[in-house]
Amino acid sequence: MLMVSVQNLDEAREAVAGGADIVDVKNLREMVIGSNFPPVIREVRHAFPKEVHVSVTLGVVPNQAGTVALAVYGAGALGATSVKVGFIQSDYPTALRILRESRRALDGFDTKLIAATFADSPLYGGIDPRSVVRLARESASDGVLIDTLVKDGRTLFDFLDEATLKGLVMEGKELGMSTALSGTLRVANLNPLVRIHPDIVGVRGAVCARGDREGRAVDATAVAHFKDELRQRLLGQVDVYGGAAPRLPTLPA
Amino acid sequence: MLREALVVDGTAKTCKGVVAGLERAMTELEPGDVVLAIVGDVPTRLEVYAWAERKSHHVIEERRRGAGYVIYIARGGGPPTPLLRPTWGDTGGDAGEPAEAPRPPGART
Repeated sequence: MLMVSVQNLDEAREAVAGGADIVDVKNLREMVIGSNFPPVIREVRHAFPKEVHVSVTLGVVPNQAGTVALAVYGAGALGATSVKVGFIQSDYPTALRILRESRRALDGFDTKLIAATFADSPLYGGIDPRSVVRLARESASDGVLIDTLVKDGRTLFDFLDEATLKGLVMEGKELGMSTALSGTLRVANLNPLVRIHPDIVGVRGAVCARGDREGRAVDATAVAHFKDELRQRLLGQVDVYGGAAPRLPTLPA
Repeated sequence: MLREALVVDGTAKTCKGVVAGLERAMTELEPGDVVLAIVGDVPTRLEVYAWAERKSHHVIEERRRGAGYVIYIARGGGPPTPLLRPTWGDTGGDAGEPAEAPRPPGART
């Protein structure tokens, strides 16, 4: 599935028109992945049928479980399909407590809880991004996301290699979680992404007019182009294995 | 005795993929019971095979269905249980044509 980050209803409409499966509502003016305002989220949610997933980013949350749980409850009350809780400068026990309280806050809602870590967290002393599956499992979260915070042109793959990401994605899938990867991803990153094969690929800059994450808006044509490039790789019309695809076993006659 | 197979439809539009569905399905099965995975793309097909091998389950059959595949997987630990063949309302046919011999995916680079 293709997830496109949007800042408002206009961008959400462009994303959906281009074929986005999930619109991820965030606020780039509050850090780079901040939370948007409840009226914006409500407006986006009400604009589309339930088949269009509307996720809410809480971005980087404070180490205050009650505050985060209340924000998560707000996402549930707004009818978000999912809410993502990410950590910068937190330790594992604190992050786990916050996610567990977030889980409790979603009792009675259909909203899914997504645990998020940042691949570039070693740059600022954050939580180990590879702990995300364990965090999600121990907090009964529904899914995992690995993203990046720095938006200076470096991508997810500048911080975690393909094998590590593949291992985390498979581990999450085998635990019944949804798995998502994001972090300044471009068409050029699609081959390793398809080999890793997360359930969800998240983008913004790649689907903005002229590819500028913050200065330009999401563009339906760019979304459709990205989705088509993804589709071609999934269907095998573009070889992502470089002629070295894993060999399938021969079935018994 | 013929048994009706569980079906995990990987072409449905959900956030959780086929492997998560197969993991859940296997908890309901006895050794030798069979689950059908419907997959719509090449990486998912490869992933199902890799998952089955890693978990010591057995891919016993694969058929083409439209642009995708139906993969029959028997839970490890026993011989495959004979199945009632499912029918597919959208095609009016059976479980599809037998797949060509497995081969590496990809047409152009």
